[in-house]
Amino acid sequence: FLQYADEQNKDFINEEGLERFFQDLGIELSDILTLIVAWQFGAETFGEFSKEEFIEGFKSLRCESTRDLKNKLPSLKAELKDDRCFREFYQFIFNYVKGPDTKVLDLNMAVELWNVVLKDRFKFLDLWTSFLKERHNKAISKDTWNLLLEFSKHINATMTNYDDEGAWPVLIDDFVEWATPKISSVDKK
Amino acid sequence: YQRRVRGSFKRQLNERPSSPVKRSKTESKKRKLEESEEQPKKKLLKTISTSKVKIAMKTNNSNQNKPVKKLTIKAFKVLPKLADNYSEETWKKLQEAIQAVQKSERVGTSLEELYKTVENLCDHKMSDMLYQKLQSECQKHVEGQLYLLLERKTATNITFLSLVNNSWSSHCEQMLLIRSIFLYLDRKYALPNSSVKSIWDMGLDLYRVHILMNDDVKSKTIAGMLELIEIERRGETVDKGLLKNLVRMFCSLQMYCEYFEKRFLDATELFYVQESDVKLRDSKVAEYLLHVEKRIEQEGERVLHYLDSITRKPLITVLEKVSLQNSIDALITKGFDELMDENRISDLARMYQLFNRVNGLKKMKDAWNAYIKKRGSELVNDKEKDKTMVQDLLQFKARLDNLLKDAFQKNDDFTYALKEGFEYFINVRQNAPAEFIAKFVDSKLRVGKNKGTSDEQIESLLDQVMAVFRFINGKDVFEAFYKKDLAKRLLLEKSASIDAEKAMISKLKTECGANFTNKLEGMFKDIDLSKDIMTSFKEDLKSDIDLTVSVLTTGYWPPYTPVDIKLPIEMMEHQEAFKQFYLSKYNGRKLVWQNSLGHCNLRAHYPKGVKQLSVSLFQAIVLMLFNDSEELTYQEIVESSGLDDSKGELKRTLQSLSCGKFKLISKEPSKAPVMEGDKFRFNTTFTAKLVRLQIDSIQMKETVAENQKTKENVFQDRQYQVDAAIVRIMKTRKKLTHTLLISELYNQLKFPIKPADLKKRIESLIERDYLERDSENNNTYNYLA
Repeated sequence: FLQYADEQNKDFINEEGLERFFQDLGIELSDILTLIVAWQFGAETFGEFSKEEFIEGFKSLRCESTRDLKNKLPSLKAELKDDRCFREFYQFIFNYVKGPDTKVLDLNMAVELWNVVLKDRFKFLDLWTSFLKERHNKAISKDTWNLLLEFSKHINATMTNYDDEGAWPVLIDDFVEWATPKISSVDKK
Repeated sequence: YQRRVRGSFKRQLNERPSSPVKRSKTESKKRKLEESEEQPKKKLLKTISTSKVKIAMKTNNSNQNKPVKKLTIKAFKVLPKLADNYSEETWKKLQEAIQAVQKSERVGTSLEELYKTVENLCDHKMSDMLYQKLQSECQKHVEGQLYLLLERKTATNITFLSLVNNSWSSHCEQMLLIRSIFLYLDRKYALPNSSVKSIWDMGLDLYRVHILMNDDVKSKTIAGMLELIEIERRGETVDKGLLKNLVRMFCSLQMYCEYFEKRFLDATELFYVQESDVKLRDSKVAEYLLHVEKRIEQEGERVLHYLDSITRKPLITVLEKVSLQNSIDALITKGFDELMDENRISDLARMYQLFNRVNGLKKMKDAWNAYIKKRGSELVNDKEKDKTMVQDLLQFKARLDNLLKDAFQKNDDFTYALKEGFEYFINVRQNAPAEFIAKFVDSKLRVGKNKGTSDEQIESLLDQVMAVFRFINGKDVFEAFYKKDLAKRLLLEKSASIDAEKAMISKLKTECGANFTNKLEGMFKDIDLSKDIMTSFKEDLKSDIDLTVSVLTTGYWPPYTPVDIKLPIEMMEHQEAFKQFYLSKYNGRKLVWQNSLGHCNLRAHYPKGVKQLSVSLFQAIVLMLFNDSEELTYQEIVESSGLDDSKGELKRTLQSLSCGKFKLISKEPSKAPVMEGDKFRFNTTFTAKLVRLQIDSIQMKETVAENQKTKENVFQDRQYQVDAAIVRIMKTRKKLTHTLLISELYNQLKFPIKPADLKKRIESLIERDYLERDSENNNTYNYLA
């Protein structure tokens, strides 16, 4: 821990230390594994680890050294194949990245996160992000974030199984309305 | 005898001979004898020599010494014997007589004698033989008649009918005569014997079996009759008497229902099927219905004139089925809307009555409902007609009410359909009808535009408005606009009549409950209270300030934003004095001056005349600046008046003073609109006809911004109500699915709202941690305490 700890505050690893930590683990900063590790460690604030989190994290993963952790990474990634696990992870990320001061997540951040986390899991991801940029241009609420996962699991390829009178958030209602003609035109092509 | 004869007929035929029986003298005497046999105690004179009776005579004698004479007449003990060939000889006579009757010739022997011979024969046990002989004689004759009928080659069926008619009439007459000759036989032999038909019945039987059941005769007769009927249906006159007789013939012979009626109904159906087809195609719905009505009447008359009454019901049923029942849909589709548009009351009434006969009212009611929805929606949605919407709605409703009363007999289903239709279309375009109705009522309650209308007219107009208002779902929009306009009327003293205002309030109270009108009533109270306060203020001050203050209780009145302006010193002093006075009377209250609502009377000394100006406070302040300067720039006015122009208030004021009808100040450049570089001068050339001028109409007008703001307030308020409702519901239920929550909200909320808007409020509450989504099920919400 001390290897990576901040100069000023020896109880925390800050961004710079975090970068080095991940480097040693062989993870790129843009890799989803950075988030997975943060999740497993129960990190509270984006971009830093507390001493307790760090130590408890290693303990709970039964690793004694960085190398142990490095070896464990593939299995951690594989864990996410379980739906339940992934859901927990997904919901964690929102709170983690947005931070404790605000209730919403900045749009650009959200888009970046989605591109990492929902890649290959959400068939309309690109359509979704273009919709948001074109129509929404506001921060993302927790409800929207969480429900997007359900939506990605539920919606079919032609968006025909969507019930707009159901409990889906209004933003997703709007998305379906906006995207449906675009999908059918693609089909026609 | 007559009575007995009728009795026997009832047993067999339920029919009487068509011509009344003429009684001969012998018969009337017979009747008397009848009575005597039933009363054996009384002894009367018998004229026939079959028996003798005792007659007891009493003579009234004043001389009681002379003995009373008694005459006794005794019956013979032995019946006189008949001659041996009596029966043959008598039969010959009878036969001659019968044949004479049948040939319509004069009978040789006297009828009395014939009667006697019949009596003799019967008394001597020869009834049987006599009857048989009579029957065979009649039969022979009837068979001969058939031959005659068929032998004559008639050109048409119709001419054949006359022949049949004649034959039948003759037969009836003859049988009657024969029967009267053989009356004794009938009475003594035929009637008591149930196996033997009465003479009349026997005659009918013969006629039926031998003539009318003959296929040729039967088919020709019926065909002829149907032809005649068709001719009459096509509009020409025919011999109704002939038809009547023939129908009666069929009835007497018990062949009416099975043979005639059946074919008649079939022919009727065919005729009307063809006619309806053509008429439906070629004529308009109104004409068609009129025609059907006429036909129904005609067929009814036909039954009266010559058919049997038993045919009435099936005949009308066939007619109705073919002309109406089968074409209900076509008639409605083709013409209902048109009749409605043209307000053809009598035609619609006819349609209603005719359809009522054939169970077509449900479809008509559906068409009525659809029409109301269609035209109503058009009315409400046409944005170009917004100005006359309320007037149009009132006329539409009045027209529909009339139709309901005059054409549809206030039918319950139709009444309900009207209500449902009206409620549907008036809410198709949300919020607009409510707003316009409020404005309409405002225009009727304001001074000026209603000089011609009496109080009663206004009252009845308001009643009509209320009837339409009832259907609106979003009444809070109405309330907001009504309140705003009422406030203006009260504060600027523009109400035409306080009585009318109060009447309207009580109508609203009846319609929407006291909650709705509490605040409105509060406004009236404030005005009255303010008058009292002003009286005591002026007394207290002991001087006459020309200031009137209205104290408005916040909450009763529409929300106003205070506007700060620089008042002249005198005004400020007066205001301060009042404020002190008021606060000394009422503790713990806060007073905020609403300058936008104030208005003034100014005396302006123009070179061409002194004028009394009625102006708004803002206008007054701007005008009074010119007491100190001849010319002012826009900027200078801004500074001196303190009127900020963030909402265009100053520009509007200046415009009303310099570019309107009365140019109290002149503007450079003079064209509207007011721009920031403009200069203003006191208009020395100003002139007007009247001394008193109203320049303050600016305050009564509603700006677009004002309108928007009122609506937004309503929507904002609705959002609060929705939030409160959601929290209330979730607090009670703790856990609820999305669909159930939505439906519960619709139950509770009294204004229209889209499900998407409800969703937005739910999401907002989730974000504010009043609710959460259930972790297991996205569709369910949990209450967060």
